[in-house]
Amino acid sequence: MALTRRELLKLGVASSIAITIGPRVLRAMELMPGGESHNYLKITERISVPYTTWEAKIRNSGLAFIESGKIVQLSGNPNHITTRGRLTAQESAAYLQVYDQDRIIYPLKRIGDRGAGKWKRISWDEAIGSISEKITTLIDNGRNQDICLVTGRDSSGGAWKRFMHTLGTNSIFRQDSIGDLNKKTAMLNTWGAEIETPDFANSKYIIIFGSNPFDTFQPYAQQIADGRIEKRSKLVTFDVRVSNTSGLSDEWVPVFPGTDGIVALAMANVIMSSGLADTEFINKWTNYPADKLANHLKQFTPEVAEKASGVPAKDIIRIAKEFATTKPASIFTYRGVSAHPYGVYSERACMLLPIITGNIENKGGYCLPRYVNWLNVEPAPPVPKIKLRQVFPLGDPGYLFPFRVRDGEIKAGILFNYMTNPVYSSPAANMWRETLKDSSVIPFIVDFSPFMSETALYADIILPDAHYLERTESDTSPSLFPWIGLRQPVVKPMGEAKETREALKMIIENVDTDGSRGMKKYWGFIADGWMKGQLDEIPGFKKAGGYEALKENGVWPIYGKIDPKTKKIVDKSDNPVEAEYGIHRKKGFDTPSGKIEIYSKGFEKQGLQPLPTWKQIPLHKDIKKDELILVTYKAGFHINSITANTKYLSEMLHSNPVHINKETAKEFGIEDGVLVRIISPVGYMVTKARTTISIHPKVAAISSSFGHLAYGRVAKAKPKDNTFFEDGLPHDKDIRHNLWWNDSGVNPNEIIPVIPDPICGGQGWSDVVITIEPAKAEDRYGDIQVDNAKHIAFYKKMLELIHES
Amino acid sequence: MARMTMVMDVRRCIGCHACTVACKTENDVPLGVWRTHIRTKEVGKYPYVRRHFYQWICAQCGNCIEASENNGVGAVSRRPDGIVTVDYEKLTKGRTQKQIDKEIDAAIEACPIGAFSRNPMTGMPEKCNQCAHRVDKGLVPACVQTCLGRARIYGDASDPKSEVAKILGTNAARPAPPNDCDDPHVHYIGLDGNLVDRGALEGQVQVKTEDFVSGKIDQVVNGLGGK
Repeated sequence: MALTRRELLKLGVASSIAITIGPRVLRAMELMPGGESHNYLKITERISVPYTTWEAKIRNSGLAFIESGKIVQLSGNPNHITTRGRLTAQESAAYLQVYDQDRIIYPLKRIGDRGAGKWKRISWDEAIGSISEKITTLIDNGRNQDICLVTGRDSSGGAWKRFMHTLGTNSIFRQDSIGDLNKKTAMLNTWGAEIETPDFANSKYIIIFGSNPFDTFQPYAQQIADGRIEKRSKLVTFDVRVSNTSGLSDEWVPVFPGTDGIVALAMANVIMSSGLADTEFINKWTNYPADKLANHLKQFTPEVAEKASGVPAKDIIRIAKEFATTKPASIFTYRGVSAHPYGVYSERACMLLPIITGNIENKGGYCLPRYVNWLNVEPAPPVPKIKLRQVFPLGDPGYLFPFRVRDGEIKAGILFNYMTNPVYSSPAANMWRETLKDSSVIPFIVDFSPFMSETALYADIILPDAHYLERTESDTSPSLFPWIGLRQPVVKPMGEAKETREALKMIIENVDTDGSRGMKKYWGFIADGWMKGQLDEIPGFKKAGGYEALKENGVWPIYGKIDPKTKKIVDKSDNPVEAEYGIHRKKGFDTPSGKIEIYSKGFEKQGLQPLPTWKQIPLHKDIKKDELILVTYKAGFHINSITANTKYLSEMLHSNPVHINKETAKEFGIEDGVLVRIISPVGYMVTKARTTISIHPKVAAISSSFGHLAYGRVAKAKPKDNTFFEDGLPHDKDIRHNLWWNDSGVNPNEIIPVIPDPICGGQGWSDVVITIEPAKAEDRYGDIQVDNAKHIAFYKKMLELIHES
Repeated sequence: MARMTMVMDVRRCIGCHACTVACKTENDVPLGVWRTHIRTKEVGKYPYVRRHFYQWICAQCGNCIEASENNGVGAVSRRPDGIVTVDYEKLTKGRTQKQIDKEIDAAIEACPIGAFSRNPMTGMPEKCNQCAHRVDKGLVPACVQTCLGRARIYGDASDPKSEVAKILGTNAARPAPPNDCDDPHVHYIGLDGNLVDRGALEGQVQVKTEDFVSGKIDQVVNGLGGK
């Protein structure tokens, strides 16, 4: 057996630490692709603790390295099937957030006016006491339903739902409505899963609509990079702007916002009418016959699509034929397709392409996500019977909360805010700000946050939430290889920070001290008990070592080991691990008919279009020459709000000028770098312009990752500011002395009104019609002027437009 | 004798900056200085636009060694495996600040690509040493481990069976620019606008490698790149 270079070195090096990776037969002495970490200055032992990352939609498995009780490095878990030892920029930098000088590590009580930023450190007992008192009063007055929760990325594994149900309320407002709600709704109603998992590594032709996986789905980025070199796959991206993905594609096809759907329908039409469709698959695995589908699609000619989208008909025909004749092929879509009014229809339209070409559940094709699902911890409280009015036929967007509270439709006696920052990240951000500021509308607000977010600023009490590296949770992600990962406290929570679940338990125990309210019995678990309750009964889990093994490995199952030569996960005989395909053949699709529902009876019942279709966005019907569509996007590795205060991330990306096409800018008399005023129907903002070749001429694009007014000194690019409360974590000298930029951007969400999808309500992020003009003499960079009356009027107008169509 | 070598496959770089951050966290590199970075350029004419990346890093060419020898005690040297490192003890022990500065400044001056710099916190040299402390333990450098696109391949070129030796044995890779670099331990695949499978674009302006290397090109696109 040959030795790895590592093993050879080991003969001379006395001690090895952390994880050792089993022996393997190799032809060359390659270096190990991870699994260890060493101090570059001195020889101190580092121990490794596996955990699951939290940042992106698709999680990775990581190893945290601890030296003298402190996290000193995060790196990828080499044996995780999709991580393969690699972490993204934001994942590598996450430990800096644990020790962030601006972190909240004690319960805080507001002492000034809401939003004034004056706080007092209080004890947990006092904090829990006053929260419980408010809850008790509401419950005793039969106002359980007035206990409200606004939640973002809830990774509590059901703890929040349990908490709300225990208190007899289901007033939960989910902020996924500002993300991918439309996509989920479309996909669930079509093939029974809310996302696709393309087999990028084995695909020969990939079309991406309105998405930038190179920045936002990085495990997929790994696979695309492999596929492009190893399988010579072709990558075509439809997007309004050049992103890392579209800029590196073989073809970038600029498309007018919200028209991907009709392009996809026209391509489907071309494929069906030129006899390139897999009619056998359509007839066998969908609920609509191929000939009828072909007939239905005839109305969507390439010429009609060209008129709507600006994509030349000849390109539509060519790409359609290439896609249909190069197998296997797949597509991938995201917010660019679905985050629009009628985005649900567009998403369903795009799904047709892999369906009609039979590229479903095959190697290199468009596959269903596989998960390991954890179980509910028993006993669980019953679901309260009272139901909120559902605003749209298939969904209920959380971002309408301030509108509904102001209308009096929802009464919020107490508001919990968890893992979301709507005053910064919601459309109509100022509606949130003004609503949260008004204690006559919302008398009591509790924020669970490790950071002083723009939303936490308006809380009455802030409970210091644990950072994800300090939490105990299970997590998983869509993958071709089902896995479950453990997020475990890599270090103890800083200061007095607590895990959410523990804090919620304290509240319940305080509300129901003697158990007479019948609440306590749902909260009898301890940390490990909760996890075991979720995991132990998963088939095969215990046999593989159970929870103890999961704590050690971070992930289950382990499919193989990383090959240091190819960086692929290989099995015992050194062959790359292959996914299992064709899972629909075993159990069908998770839909009422067990097939892919090209014809959705559910939609029909709701008075919606049952067949794939496209509808023009009502706001775009009569767009004028001097008007543009404002689109927002996530910048590179910035995720939510939290990364803006992370120094290594903000160092590379910290500002967000508005991008305008060079030719458009010339017409508008706007030069590169000048200040401009962007005027939307609800107000205006002043920012810098960047003129570029890389954007559709009718589009202005601004990243929605910048322009923080809170969070911390890095996010605001004010390194020399003082901390906002005493006894915080130590200062970072590097930030104080070396932070070299002073532009922290302007938040575009301030001037974006609510634009709900008429089907399920997901926000249309790329739809507001704006004008851009050179700034006026009195304008200063970062000026924002919005009028909430206009926000309310715009929402009414949207509802009218929806009714008309 | 080992010859540690890095191959940058530009075709696989997706510009995600995982390397930049992994390097910073591995080596506690302060704000304002970099040991590796991704340079970015968009070329073409709407709607034919493409983005190019260049993985900027020290090529271990050794120009700084000569400068350090000629202007001080030669604290910068090449290890037997080819990695160019700084001996901080040798640099500082029993020497005045002026002498130290002279040696560092000469090394900074000698670097053709600006990869030798000064740490603003310590005043000491800041340069990529291919994570020698990891290599000594048999681990790949931090940037290589985390590279999402597997655009960085690292190993011993003197081992004919290694991945890097195989790549260098083909004509796919060229030595790191600039071309006057004497003894490069970094090679590139797909530079010189030669992004193999993607062909030429209508109206496309070729990105000149020397502009990328010198830092003349480091465009800020959608906020990415630019330092």
